This record gives sequence, structure tokens and C-alpha cells, in this order.
Amino acid sequence: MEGDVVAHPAMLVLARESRGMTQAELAQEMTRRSDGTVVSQGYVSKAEAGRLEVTGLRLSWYAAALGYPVAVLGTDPQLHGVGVGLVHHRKRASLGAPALRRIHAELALARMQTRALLALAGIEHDYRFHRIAIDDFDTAADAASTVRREWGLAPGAVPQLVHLIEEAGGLVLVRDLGSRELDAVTQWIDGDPPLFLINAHAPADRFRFSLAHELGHVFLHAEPGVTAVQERQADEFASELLLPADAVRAELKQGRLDLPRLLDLKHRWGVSMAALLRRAFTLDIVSDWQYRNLMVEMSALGYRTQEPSDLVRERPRFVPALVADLRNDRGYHLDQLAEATGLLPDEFARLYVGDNNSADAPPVEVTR
Amino acid sequence: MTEPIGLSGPGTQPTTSAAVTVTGRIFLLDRPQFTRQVPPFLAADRSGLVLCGKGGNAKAEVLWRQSAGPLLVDPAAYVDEVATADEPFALPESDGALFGTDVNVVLDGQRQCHAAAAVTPSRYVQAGDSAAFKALVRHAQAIERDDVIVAVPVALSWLTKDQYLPQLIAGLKRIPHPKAMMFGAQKNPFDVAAATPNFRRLLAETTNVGLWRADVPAAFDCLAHGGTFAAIGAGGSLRHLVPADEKPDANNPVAHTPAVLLPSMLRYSEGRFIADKYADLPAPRCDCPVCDGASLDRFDSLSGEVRIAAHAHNAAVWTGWLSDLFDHTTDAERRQWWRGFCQAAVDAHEQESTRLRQKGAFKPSPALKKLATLLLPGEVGYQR
Repeated sequence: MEGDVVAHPAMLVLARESRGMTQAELAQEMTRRSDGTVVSQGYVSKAEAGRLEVTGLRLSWYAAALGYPVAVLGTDPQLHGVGVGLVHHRKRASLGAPALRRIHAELALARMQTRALLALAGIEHDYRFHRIAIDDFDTAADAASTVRREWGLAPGAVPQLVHLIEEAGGLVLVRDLGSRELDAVTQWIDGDPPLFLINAHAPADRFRFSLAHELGHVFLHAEPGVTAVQERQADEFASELLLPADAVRAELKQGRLDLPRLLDLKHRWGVSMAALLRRAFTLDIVSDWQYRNLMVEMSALGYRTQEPSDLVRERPRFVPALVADLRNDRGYHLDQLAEATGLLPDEFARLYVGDNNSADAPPVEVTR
Repeated sequence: MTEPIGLSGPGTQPTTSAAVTVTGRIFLLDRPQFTRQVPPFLAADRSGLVLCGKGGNAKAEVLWRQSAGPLLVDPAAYVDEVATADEPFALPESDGALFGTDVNVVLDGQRQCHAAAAVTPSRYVQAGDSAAFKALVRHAQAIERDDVIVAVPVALSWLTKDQYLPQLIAGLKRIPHPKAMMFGAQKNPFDVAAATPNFRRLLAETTNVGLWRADVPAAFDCLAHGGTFAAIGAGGSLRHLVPADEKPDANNPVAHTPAVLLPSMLRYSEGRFIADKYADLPAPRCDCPVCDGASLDRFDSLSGEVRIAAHAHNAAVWTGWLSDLFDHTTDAERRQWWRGFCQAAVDAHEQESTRLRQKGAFKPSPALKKLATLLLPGEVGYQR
């Protein structure tokens, strides 16, 4: 019964942060939806701190203001294992803390939603991710080589990184992360498959590297934290995964490396010209001087902001196929799926049936 | 064989018979085909001769009786062969052997020709080729004999790029034999800003490491900063290592006059360059055993004899400095002396240019300027 629901303070925080709202903004929105009662920021603060109980009418204002079903606000995020936990992301320095909190909350709720969908489909979690210990001798790049070997990758370019992660049991979703400062974010909770959120705004030529970087965090880093060392290791992992030294060295050495050639190679390897140039530098294909000159040239042409000739954007296939399977083959109505995932039907449709996640998705087998 | 002068410091405790052989020595490294005899001026207790490249074993058999100091043979496979994850060593065809040729066959071959220790036939490790580097380490670890020097020829990036240096150091720590480091680059690797400080760090964090195919400044700096041994190339091509997968940038490596060590400036200059600079003024005279007071502008020739004489002068000069290097009682004194020596050499560039009335006639290399100015351990602001 909706009327019996008592809000869980931690979920109130998570839900508000997922909408990127401050307590004051939420109070204002609740007031607008109330019967004339003025809801103060102090009320929201106390509710989130658990110092007062939110039920009934006030909970319905809360839910309406946040755009979530009432029931979901009564769930304990820890019981559902959707606490923020260990989150990795490759962000620019300018991304502020509120934006980051929103993204972390969105990730936690996406975890809850995908768990619900997998449970409805009766799919066992089976995945091929594991931590790889690294040190000075066994490096992040070595770990990437191990992953390539374990996942049976042929030498050379990785044609479909998203598909590869999904085949290994990872869950990939496209989301509007509300910022262009962050390309992807990931979370891996024990017992669950890793979850990757790809920013819908991430440029296609950059997001594959960002996704590989996140994959690096999943394999390498059991401890939380965005230390410079972890970030460098994740970059080295991504570089070796997408541009394996053996194969890319031979190709980069075939002729002079200039901007037209980098553009060609960008399409061949599916990474930005900047990432290719950086790899050429670390593998001694270009000298420090050549590297700097080409970077200056790219900056002058505006390529550091927007490179020419975008790549074809990869899209997730597994979750859209799972939703399609639940609706078409198992007879679930969209409202039922929305309720199960703690979303209102419109938002469920937008997130799980809309273009972001379903376009271009060929049929895939959803059993694991 | 004369016992070497002992060195103190963390990198200088001999742990194998090969380490005993090389510790506290700076070797002369020359090509077998150009080595007619063991140079008589080589210091038996502080030096030795390395025959580098094809024909080393045969020449060692001829020369070993002449050698008061240790004689070594370096197969130098790294010059034109690239290491792989499967084959970090260059081994001869198995010749019908059931399991192929073992590295011990190569090492035994050198020892049978009276080499004082055996040098591994290591191939060149390209920048970032972690699999090949780790294979080299693994194969070196598997060598159970104690008369081995492991050649570690790697691209310069392994030393100068932060991404690779920790792995290089970690790998060296795992090898229980003396390690002969060499860094592949088209030019003097120590002209790269990070090379000298990073190599000093490497020496401080490892044991039994030496520098191979070095020039005089790099070799002496190695010994001054904790290195166990070094080997200085007789000619320019033996003082640097061009990456095995690249052609030399030098337009025509043969058609130039020999590089001559100018002692006061601690620099190598071509015989032609010296003759040009000193066209109007007397060139410096040299008191090394080879020159015996002769002028240093006499090497302006492409003849083989002149080239050999120039190489002999070079080696005789640095041999004369070995006692200055080793006769310090502490590491700190040795470093102080060496930096002062380099500072004086930097100053000598300007003094000589002034004497010639040719501003900038001689300019110190970035590598030398670095050696003259880097802070030493214990000094304010020093950072490893």
C-alpha cells in the first residue's frame, strides 16, 4: 500500500542527488506541488537525516517533485546493494562535486534497475571480470594483455568495445550524465557484474578510450580513490587494450606520421588522433619534438576540442535486448517493468526503450 | 688477472664470480676486426677489454695471453635483432639438438675462448615491449651459473619515460647477475634531460648494474654514482646504440674523420673539426701514452691507421683518469670530484673558444652541462 510507505532517509538523498537538485530546490518544488503548504529546506534536511518521518501526503509531494514512484523512496539502498560504493570515473578537473554526486547517485539507481530487470528475466549473473594484481614489474599494460588473451581477442584493433564488455558479462548503459566533463563511470560491487554508464554526450572518438580506461579500473583497482597513480594505470591499460604495442607499432611505423595519417589511423583503431599520437610517442615512433609539434598543430586547428571525422558510435545491445525480451517474449507490460525498476513509466521508456539504448541494436541472446 | 680496486656503495658488492670480474672496472669496448692487440696502456687492475660483435670468440683466443686485465666477448646480438616474448636471446640454430640450442652453449663458447666471464646474447628490447623485457628477465633468472653478465639493451624510453622506468628497475632487481645496461637512441642518450637523473636513480635502487657502450662522461658518472662497472666504446658507433629496428640517422657513418677525445673539455670532436678550429692557432697537445706530447689536430684523415690511433688516444686518456676516479675514500668524495671535473670541462669550452677568438667555437653538450650542475645527495634541494 502506497499510503503505508515510510521514506528511507538514504534513498531520499540518493533520489534527490540523482536529479541534481539541492535541498532548497527540492523544497521549492515540493511546495509547488503541495496543497499550499510551504516546505522548507530545513524539512528536507531533517527528512534526509532521518530526524523526521516522511509518509503519506508529504511523501507523495516528495515523489512528485523528484519524479520517482512513491514506493522506491521507501527502499533501503544498502539492502538493495545500491549504495554508491566503489566508483571509478575519468573526469576533467572542472567537474564539480554536486555534478559528481548526481552521477554517482544515477549509477547507484541504475544498478538497482538492472538488477530488477535481470531478476525478472531469471538470468544468473555470470561474468568474466576479475581483479588483476599489478606492481612495478607486472604492469597495467601487462594486465590489458592478459585481458586480451582471456577474452580471446585477435591481435590488432578492438572492433566493438561495448559489445566485448557485454559479452564478458558487463552491463553497459547510455545516460545523459548532465555534463560534458565526464565520458564514463563504472561501479563493480561484489557478486554483481560491473556496471558502466556511458555519457550520451561523450564524443565517439574519445569515449572508447574512456570506456577502456573504466575497464582498467575494474580489473586493477579494488580500492576506491581517484589518485593520479590509479588514473595513469587505467590510461596505460586502455592504451594497451585498444592499441596493443606489438600490432600498433608496426602500423605506426609505416611511413611518416602526420595529421592526415593520424586521421586514417583513427578510423582503423577507433580512438582519437590525440590518443594515437600519444601512443606513438610512448612507443618511440615519434620523438618528443615531433610529438610537441603535432600537438601544437592539432591545437591550432581546434582538434583538441573537436577532432574531424567522428567515429561511428558504439551502442549497448544487451540491456535493450533484455527489455525487448521481457516485453515481447515474456509478456511484461511497460508499466510493470517501470514499477519493478523503481521508475515512472515515462522515464523507464526514455531510459530503456528510447534511442539511446536501443537504436541500432541488433538482436542478441539475453541468456547468460 | 690483477685484482680490481674495491668500491663502496650499494651497487658494488660482488655476489657472483662475474661480479667479482667486473666490479670497479671501466672496460674498453672494441670491434674484434680492429683489435690487433690488447692496448698496453690499459690498467690491469681497473680496466679490461671487451671484444664486441662478430668474431669475438676467435679474437679472444688470439689475444687472451696478452691481457693482464679481464677479457670479455659480447656477441652484440642487440645491434640488429629485436627481442620478443618468446626469444629474448639470439641463439644459433639448434643443429639437430633435441630441444634447440641452450643459452649455455653461447656462454660456454665465450668461456672456452678464455673470456673471464660470459655475456648473454641479448636482443634489443623496444620501447614499451613489456612482454619482451619480462622474457629477458625470466631467461636471465633461469641462468644458474655464476660467471654471467646479462646484457640489457633497451630503448632509451625505458629510462626516460616514467611509464617504463619502474618496470625496468623492478626487472633489474630480479636478475641475480651483473647487468650491462645500454640504451638505444639515435643520438647520445644522456643528452635527454631525464636520462642522467633517472640513471642515477636506477643505480641507487639496484645492485650490480653497469653501463655498456658508453662514452667517457656517462661511464665515469655511472661509477661515481653507484654503478658497478662500465664499458666505453673505442669508436663512436660503440659508444652509443642505435635501436635494432632503426637505421642510423647519421648520413654516412663511415665517411668522417675519427672522433677524438679533447681531454680538457671532456668532449669528442671529429678530427676534421679540430683541424678546422685550430687552423690559425696551435692545437692542444696531449700527454697520454699514445700521443706523448703530440698535437691533437693530427687526426684529420679518413685512413684506418689514423682512426685506430685516435681510438687509442681516446682510451689512453680516460685510462689516465681512472686513478682519479677510484682513489677517493668515500662515495661522496668521488661524486664531488667528478662533478668538479665536469664543471671544469664546461668552463674549458668557453676558455678555449676565447683563446681561439671564435665565440661559441666549442659548446658543451646538454649531457655534460647536466653532469656539471646536478645536485648531489645530501645537498640542499637534492631530490632523487
